[in-house]
Amino acid sequence: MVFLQLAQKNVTRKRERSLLTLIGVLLAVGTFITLLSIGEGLSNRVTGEFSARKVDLYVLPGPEISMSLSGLGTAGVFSELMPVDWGKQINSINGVRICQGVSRLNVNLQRLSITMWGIDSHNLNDFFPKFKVVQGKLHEKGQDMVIGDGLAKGLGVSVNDNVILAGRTFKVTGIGEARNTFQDYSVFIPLDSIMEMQRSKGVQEFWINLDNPLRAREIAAHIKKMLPEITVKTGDEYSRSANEFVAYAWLMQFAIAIIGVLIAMTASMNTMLMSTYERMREFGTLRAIGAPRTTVFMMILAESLMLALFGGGLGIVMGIMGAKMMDDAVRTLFQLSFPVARITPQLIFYGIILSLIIGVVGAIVPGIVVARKNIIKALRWE
Amino acid sequence: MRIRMSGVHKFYESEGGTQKVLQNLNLEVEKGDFIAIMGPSGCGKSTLLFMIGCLDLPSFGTVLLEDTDVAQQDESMREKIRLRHIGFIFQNFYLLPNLNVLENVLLPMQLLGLPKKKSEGRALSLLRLVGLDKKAHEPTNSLSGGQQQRVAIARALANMPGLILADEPTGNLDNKSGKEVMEVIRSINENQGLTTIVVTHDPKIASYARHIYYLSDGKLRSTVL
Repeated sequence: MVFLQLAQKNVTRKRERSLLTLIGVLLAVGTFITLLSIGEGLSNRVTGEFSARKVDLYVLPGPEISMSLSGLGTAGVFSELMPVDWGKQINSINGVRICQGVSRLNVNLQRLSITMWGIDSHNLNDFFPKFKVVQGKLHEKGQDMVIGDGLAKGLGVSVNDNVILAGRTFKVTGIGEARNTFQDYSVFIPLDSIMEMQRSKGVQEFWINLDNPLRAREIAAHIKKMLPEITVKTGDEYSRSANEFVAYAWLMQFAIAIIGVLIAMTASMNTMLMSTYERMREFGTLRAIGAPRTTVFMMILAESLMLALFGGGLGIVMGIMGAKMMDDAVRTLFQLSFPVARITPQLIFYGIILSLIIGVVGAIVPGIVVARKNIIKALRWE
Repeated sequence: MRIRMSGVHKFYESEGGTQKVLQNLNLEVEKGDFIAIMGPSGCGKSTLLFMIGCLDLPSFGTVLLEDTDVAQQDESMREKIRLRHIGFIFQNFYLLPNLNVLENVLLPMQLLGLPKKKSEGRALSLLRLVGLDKKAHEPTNSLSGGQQQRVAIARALANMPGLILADEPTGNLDNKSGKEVMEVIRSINENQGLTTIVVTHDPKIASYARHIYYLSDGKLRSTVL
């Protein structure tokens, strides 16, 4: 493995060149991890929300409604409303086990934006089966409130404390179990309370669970026939719409990250290529004394991979620190109550793969240049 | 190593047309011989040397190293010939800057895959031969030009070649260092019986050889003993 020994010596003994390449890789991987950590965080929040829910059918206002994500990463309908008594009509359909009106409201508390869910406590566990109150009890009447674990810690409140939200005083009756960013940073209050706060007699959505979930499409058609001005989506359709939105957000960030990566990758490749031209006589000498083309190519590849992996490792550390800074910045800027950036093993794996790609791509062009160079011309290179 | 060149032509295509560097050149060098090839700058001396060293190919003609026609071999075979049978000494030394003195001498043996301990022993004895064993672990850029060329000689001998090719080996050295280097080359030729070809434009350097050839207008015109 003579090429490995040569590569190691070239990397460690030519420190300025190594450092320049390393910085390029570090910036590429660091930027990539930092930017994508936001996508991971957002995706995790929405995934957390949908994995926490068990809803067979959603009834949404309007004949064609487009799903959106709120600034708080909560998916659903926010602006349009449906009369509350439609819930009774839906409940009368054969096969509908339960129909609950649901509304959300984003409010500010202690300079934090919070999503409040208006949903009656007796139906909460039907639609959020994994939700558990670990301290106190569920919200039963008008001014009761159940708060997520993360938010309770962030606000420094505990059971029986009073919290003023949008000018109304709520009593914390329970604190939810720590589970995911959706559940940990949500607030649940009775539906009537949120409708009063919104000064409306309507709800944003109806959530329906069926006796037999396999009849979802059939019952959806029935509801649509009964209330033609609404949209009915199955649980899968609803989550798919929200996931599409997350995917777009992810794609946007990926595109921005890729631009940064390409710039850094080009800089890194440029350093490798320039150093190849600087070292042309060295390569010519190696070839002249009998080193095969493959040995020289492997040496260049090994050098590039060593620098890329080391730079990538440092880039991952930088990315983690960058994600923390980005998280602080975004949360401060948008007054969010929950963590936005998220570092996952998958993201670190992507960082390693990216480092490997930079290493290989950075070596290919110099490797081809050297392999194709005439030995005599390489020896006489100025 | 015995060398036979017959009917060798070398042309280069350039913007001004075809440039004839070597024309119908014939040369025979016996095993263990020491020859010098002289000629004016740009006459094709180095081209001739590089063809013998499998770094370049003739446009026509045959170049036989023992019985192997190098022009008929593919690049990987020519790599093997260079690695196993030829030692190069260049005007600019061409030591690898990221390797120290010992590592430079070890390199051909590493490429041959020889055992590390045996290689190190041989590398140190070669450095002793050129008087640089005490500088084995020093970086090459701390050495003088003459010392660097002696390291290059040790490297050229590392693969136990049958042929030493030296291209203006004293071109970048002062008279004293040049003389020392040529003494080393002559001593190696005499003691180890290696076929040695030196390309030079300096008659003093050429005088170390047993045979001197003049190359001009693409032809080896005369031989002086």
